[in-house]
Amino acid sequence: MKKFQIISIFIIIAVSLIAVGNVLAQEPVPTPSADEVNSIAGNMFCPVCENIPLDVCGTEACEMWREEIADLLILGFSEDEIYEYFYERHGDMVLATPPLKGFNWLMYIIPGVAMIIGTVFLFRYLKNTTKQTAAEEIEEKPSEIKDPYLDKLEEELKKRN
Amino acid sequence: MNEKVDIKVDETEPKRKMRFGSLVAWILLIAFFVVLAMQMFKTQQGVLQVGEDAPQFTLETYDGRVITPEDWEGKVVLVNFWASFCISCKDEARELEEVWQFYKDSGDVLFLGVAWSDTKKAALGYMEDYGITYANGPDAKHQITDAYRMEAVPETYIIDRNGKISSTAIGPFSGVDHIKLVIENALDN
Amino acid sequence: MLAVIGYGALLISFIISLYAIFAAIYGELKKQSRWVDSARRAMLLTFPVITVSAISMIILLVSGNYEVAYVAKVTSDSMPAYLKITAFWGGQAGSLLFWSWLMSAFASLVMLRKWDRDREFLPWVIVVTMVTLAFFLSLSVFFENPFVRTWWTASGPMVKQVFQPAGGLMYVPGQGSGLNPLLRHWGMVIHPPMLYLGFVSFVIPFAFAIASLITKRSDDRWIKITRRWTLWAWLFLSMGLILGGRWAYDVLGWGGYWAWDPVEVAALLPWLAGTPFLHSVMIQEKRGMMKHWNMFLIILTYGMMVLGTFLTRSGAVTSVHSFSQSQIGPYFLVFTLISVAGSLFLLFYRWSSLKAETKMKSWLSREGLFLINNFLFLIILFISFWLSVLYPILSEIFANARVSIGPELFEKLTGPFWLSILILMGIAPMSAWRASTAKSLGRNIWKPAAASLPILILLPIFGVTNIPGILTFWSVLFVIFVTIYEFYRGTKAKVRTSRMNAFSAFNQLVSRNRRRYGGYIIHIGAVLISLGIIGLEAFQSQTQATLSLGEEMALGEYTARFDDLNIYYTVDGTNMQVAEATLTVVKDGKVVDFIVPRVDYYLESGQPMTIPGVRSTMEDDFYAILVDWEEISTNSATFKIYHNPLVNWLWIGSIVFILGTFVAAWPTKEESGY
Repeated sequence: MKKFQIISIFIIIAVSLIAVGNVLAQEPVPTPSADEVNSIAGNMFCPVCENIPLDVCGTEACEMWREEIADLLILGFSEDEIYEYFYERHGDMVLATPPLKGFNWLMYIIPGVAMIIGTVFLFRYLKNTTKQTAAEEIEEKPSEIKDPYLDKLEEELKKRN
Repeated sequence: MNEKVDIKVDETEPKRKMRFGSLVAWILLIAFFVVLAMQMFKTQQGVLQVGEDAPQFTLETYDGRVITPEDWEGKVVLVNFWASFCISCKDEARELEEVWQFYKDSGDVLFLGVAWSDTKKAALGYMEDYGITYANGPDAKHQITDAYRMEAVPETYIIDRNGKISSTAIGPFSGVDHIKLVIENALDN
Repeated sequence: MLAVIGYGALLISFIISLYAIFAAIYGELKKQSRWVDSARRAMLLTFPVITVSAISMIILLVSGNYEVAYVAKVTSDSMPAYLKITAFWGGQAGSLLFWSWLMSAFASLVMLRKWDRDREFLPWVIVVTMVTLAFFLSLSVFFENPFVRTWWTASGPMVKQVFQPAGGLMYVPGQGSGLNPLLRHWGMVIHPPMLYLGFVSFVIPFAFAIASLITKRSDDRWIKITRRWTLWAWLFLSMGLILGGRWAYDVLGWGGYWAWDPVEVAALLPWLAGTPFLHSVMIQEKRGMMKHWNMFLIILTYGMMVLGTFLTRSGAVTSVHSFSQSQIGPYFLVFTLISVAGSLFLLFYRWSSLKAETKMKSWLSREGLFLINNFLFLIILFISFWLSVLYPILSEIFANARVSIGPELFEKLTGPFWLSILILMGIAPMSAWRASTAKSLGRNIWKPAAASLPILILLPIFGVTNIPGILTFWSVLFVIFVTIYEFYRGTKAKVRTSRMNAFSAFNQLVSRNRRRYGGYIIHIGAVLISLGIIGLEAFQSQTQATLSLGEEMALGEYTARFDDLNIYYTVDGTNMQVAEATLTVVKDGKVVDFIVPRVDYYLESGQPMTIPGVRSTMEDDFYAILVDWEEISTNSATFKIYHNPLVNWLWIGSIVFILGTFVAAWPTKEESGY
């Protein structure tokens, strides 16, 4: 917590220093294009309009956030640093893909586990049932085939070939 | 008793496996519903109520001060959640500042403004527009708003000297007198 | 007065449904068929009684009786009559009544069938459908009563109830607040009823499944009876989803139609359970296998439907779609738990009586491939459920962190499985029931497969480098070829046996094997839909720019010129400011179209509505959004433009899809030949 405070104070100071520096230097800083901002904002959500990505959300809050992204780009922040910046301030909910840390690992692990369990079950079922059938092959009567249509069709096709 | 005998008689390997499988399935199902119920309870809990302990927090203000819970001691604390893009926040912004000017020298009252989901630039602009001078800061990772279970800005909580919530305003105050009234009530307790 | 009549009818129908449950159980236990008959008549009676309630509601809405709180909430004087009617399902309370109305209509329909052969099912079908109906009616009666009126009481506060409190005065607002402007779109007008129709008609197969379990029947009778219901239910659900997408595309103004929003996913989940069910029941019909599995799938479908309704209506998840918080949550949760746990318990209890009659011979057989199809759908269901419902809740409770999960993650994780399903759609029709070997399957499949392969080389040559895109295009082509080949093979065989001309042979082939060929047509629809999906997912491009009047912006082969911006005030239900820009669309140096993106700003609610300007062709959509503009001088504006390739195929595919379902589900006299 303490560390976080120090870091964030540092960032604030750094940001304001750079901002002041820019103003003083009067250097023409290239304004980032809307597309650059949107490509970053597209991977973010703002807390005001839930479930609408930041790049297409029309609320005033989202507009401000996009402005902030543009400001950060001017300050030379990289894409990842911008995500980090917003993450530090607003938490997991701003990122469209929750960061891979802590509890969030669970999010990625569980679908994998479920898939593996499902696959194992499926294959064991298929293996068991087809193996058993092979053993009982003789018992099964041909009359059990319940698709007269397809049989007829297959027969016809055989005749033709 | 009967059931026990049954198990002993025709317990076979696949059956035991199936029992285990269905047990797991039931546990997962029940766990899921417990989690759903917890979540629903959480969302339906609503905002903090009068009389509850007010969550204490450290506010790092935009002007670089750090206001810790020690600073709250012996004071009535007004916690106002706002955002620069919130229209009804603007209605009460000046009034809050006016009341703050009224109390600030007494040392009995502490005003804390917490900006929700705001950018620093917009928040500073807003504070300048409405001449706000009391302590205001961002809500890092929504920890403060979550602790207060805030639903929407503006919301204001008046905390008495014992750290209990003395009154709440969900939505904007109706005027300067309203704010003074709730603060006086808290001071009287 | 009407409010009282409506509420009275609602209350009576609730009592009737309770009576039907009681009479059906009592009659069954005491073996007295007159009680069961009475229950059946009671069930038939619910429909006209709820109709009285529904008509009262509609009249109240159309005539603007604002003393009824719901009417004041969803309508206003200036709304056209048809919107006042559709406002019926525009809010929580009304849509619950509407849901019950549809449920009772379907319950009555199923009661009208001939029951001679399946008499034993009757009481339990009544019980299941009436329990579901009674539950939804109870929500209206006790929690979300659409007929409550607002009263001034003598003691001061306003109260909302149906009947006049002692000394109370009726409060009649002069004007209603009107329907949310976003809901005023034809897609939104039909989309909720479609979803509800899908939901309520899935209750019917579920009811028969439960009846079959209770009566310990182990055959596939319940599946045969409800086959059509299932197909219709599935069609309604599919249409509900697609129309919802169309609405989002036309009105929400973010360039797409599906955002994996929690509420969207809540409606997709029953579909993801119902689709494998639709396939898997065929295994039971043909081969007498998978009986437990089919029971499980229909319970899952029902469970997902109830759960989805719970999630969207209790405020447990937040979303643009969700209804405002209400008190129905705990009660709804208990019902969901009891119905799901009860059905699963019944299934476990009857486990041993549902033994398979035959065994699977080969996993390349039709039934084996259907099983793989089921597996793929359920994996997608699980991932969607996990990401949109379960994980966000777990994270909030245990990690105290609210997460947002954007579309990208859903697409990454489910994409491979969707693609596998596509490919499977090409293979499965070529495999035979009971036994297929790799060799026999290969013999059937190699021709269409070989015919589709060149696209894998051609696409990269023409500059398409997106791997998922290429694979999708290939599988689409593959499925189309397989399907055409199937039609061709069938017709040819038919021509040989019957010596008819090709056309009538084809006609007879399809009409005698409706389910098979209807299914194939649905497959064609599905692959066309996937064309539209991959077009947007893999090949969408976008750009944003601020233009002065006369300036141009380019995107791909397109150029858009900003020609005009018009700002005016108007009244459409509520006061609004409209900003309307005209863009000239130029492609390859030629003016191809003029499009008019606009933003309607609703002054009272402060809500903007962004309506895109779209030029739509079979090849692509040029989709423009007005993002921002110079308020006073109106000589500059910001636009966001999207190039959405192939999107139109999504809507075309849906029409093919509907046609296929009609072919498959339309009643025929010849029931034998599928």
